[in-house]
Amino acid sequence: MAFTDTLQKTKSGPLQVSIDDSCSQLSEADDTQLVYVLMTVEPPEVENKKEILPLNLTLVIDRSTSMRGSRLDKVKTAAKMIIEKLSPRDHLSVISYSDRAEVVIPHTKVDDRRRLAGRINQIVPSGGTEILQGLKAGLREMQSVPLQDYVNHLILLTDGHTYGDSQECLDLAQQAASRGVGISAFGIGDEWNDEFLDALVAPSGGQSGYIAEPEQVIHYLRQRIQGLGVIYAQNVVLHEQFPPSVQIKEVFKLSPFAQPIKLGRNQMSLGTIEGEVPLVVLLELLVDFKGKGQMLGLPWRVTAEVPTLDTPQISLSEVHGLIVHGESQGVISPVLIEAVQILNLYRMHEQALGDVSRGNVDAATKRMERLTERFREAGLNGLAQTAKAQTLHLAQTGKVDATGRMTLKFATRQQLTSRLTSKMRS
Amino acid sequence: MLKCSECDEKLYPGTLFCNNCGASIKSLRDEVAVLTGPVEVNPPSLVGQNFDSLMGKREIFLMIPFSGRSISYPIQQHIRIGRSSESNSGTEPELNLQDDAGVEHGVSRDHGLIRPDDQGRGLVLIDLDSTNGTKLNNYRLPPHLPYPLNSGDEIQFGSLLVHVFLK
Ligand SMILES: [Zn+2]
Repeated sequence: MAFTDTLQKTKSGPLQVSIDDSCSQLSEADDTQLVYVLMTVEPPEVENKKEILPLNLTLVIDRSTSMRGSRLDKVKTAAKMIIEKLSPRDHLSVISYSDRAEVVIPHTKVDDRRRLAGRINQIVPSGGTEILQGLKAGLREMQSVPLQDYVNHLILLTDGHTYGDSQECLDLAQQAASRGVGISAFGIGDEWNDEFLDALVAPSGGQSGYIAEPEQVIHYLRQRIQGLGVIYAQNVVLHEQFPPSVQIKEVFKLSPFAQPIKLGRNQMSLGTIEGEVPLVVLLELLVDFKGKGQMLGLPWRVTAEVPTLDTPQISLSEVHGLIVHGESQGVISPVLIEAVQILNLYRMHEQALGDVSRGNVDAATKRMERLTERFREAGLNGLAQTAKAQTLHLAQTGKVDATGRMTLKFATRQQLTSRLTSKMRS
Repeated sequence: MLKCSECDEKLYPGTLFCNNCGASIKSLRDEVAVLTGPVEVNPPSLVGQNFDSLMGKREIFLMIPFSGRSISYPIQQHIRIGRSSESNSGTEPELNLQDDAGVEHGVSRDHGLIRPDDQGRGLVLIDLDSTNGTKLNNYRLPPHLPYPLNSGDEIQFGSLLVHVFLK
């Protein structure tokens, strides 16, 4: 009969999970308290050297009229760069879409690179943007092979709003995630819907990103492909069975990239673990617990698929104990504090945008002024400057500048990841 | 609630940065403490009969992290813990751990019992002389001895972890 210690299991198994919390700050207050929990999931130090699974990649490229010129040119260059980077074991399909979808490269092994690159050159711009068409065709091509033998990922590129089909797109993304297909989405320029792309990648825990200048397309796609090429674990899901006194307020992924995490019913998709980069999420919990010196157990379970293992499906569970203390016992980890600080700045910006959409420009302007100051205090001078410009724009026009909005949102996300990574190393 | 010293925003205790103005909530941070690593849980005292009052409590929740199951019972119910499959005879225990890999975790057919204390002070846990024993907060219970059971406790039937919450 096997008697294993659950704690040991998580330290030496195929994934290591560690948890840090701000809980000992809990005093004997009578009301609900806020507890921050930082959860890190990473591969073991001695890595399994077996060969990783081949990639089954689908590119879904917006070829609407607005992409004409340098946008589409750079996207084509990036697509050809990807073809060069993929290995002959990998599979690729490429779709271009406007009001309808066109299969540019039907699902194929990456064997004849020149032929494939030639097909990319044939994409021409025309028509509007209907993302659903592109997604449907992309997922269809992708499923030409048994999905369990691959790391399956769809990368969507767009520069516009999709009309009337958003909900269908989100349903499709949900279905894709349940079949183990990850989705990343990048918006080019500033006329696309960031909230929609966030929602589109959420079911699979994928990445959404902002590409301000066409020149940056190559950079972002290269980064994404590099991450996907070294996937250690995919479909990482956090299941919680927290007691009724604990309510999850929000969850945000901080690494390998910063992304809001959608709360499902007792579970959330955290995405993939890429190379040796840890997967880090910050949970904000509202805790209604009054027993000093007592433990409040937070039972959790992480499931994931580690393709290099003989039994790829793994499940780890443990209970994290929160203890209410009356007195001081040390300090909260600086990594946790800094993550909370920058996430708070990100949220202040979101609140300012909310103020504007509710027609309260004055409140938004004041909030942006304070945000500018806080960026400066945090040593984020570039963001402080962008915030200052946005504040002026708001005060003068009563409107939000789209480029400033996208920059603040996505650059603050990037700061979350880079600050965390450098803090964790030191 | 506590108040931000810079903007008067009402905040949950435990907040590190004001969500309205971004100010660092320093007054609290000076006295904060952090817990890392595994939590040490003191074994329950054998002599002290420390019961949580059942006043206002209606249900007991038992959570099994291994399988993700969570089951609730009325607080007055006698809950027999064990395992039974269709093939073995006898009545099914209220908490049947068969499908939580009970065999692998060393759960006996009649493993333990949770019931209200005879004097009605609270709940007790009793090990029914199981083969692999019952642990309460990491302390192995002597068989047949009622033991006070409180919200937040951890029980191990064999090696199967179960969490107890009263609501
Ligand atoms: Zn404030």
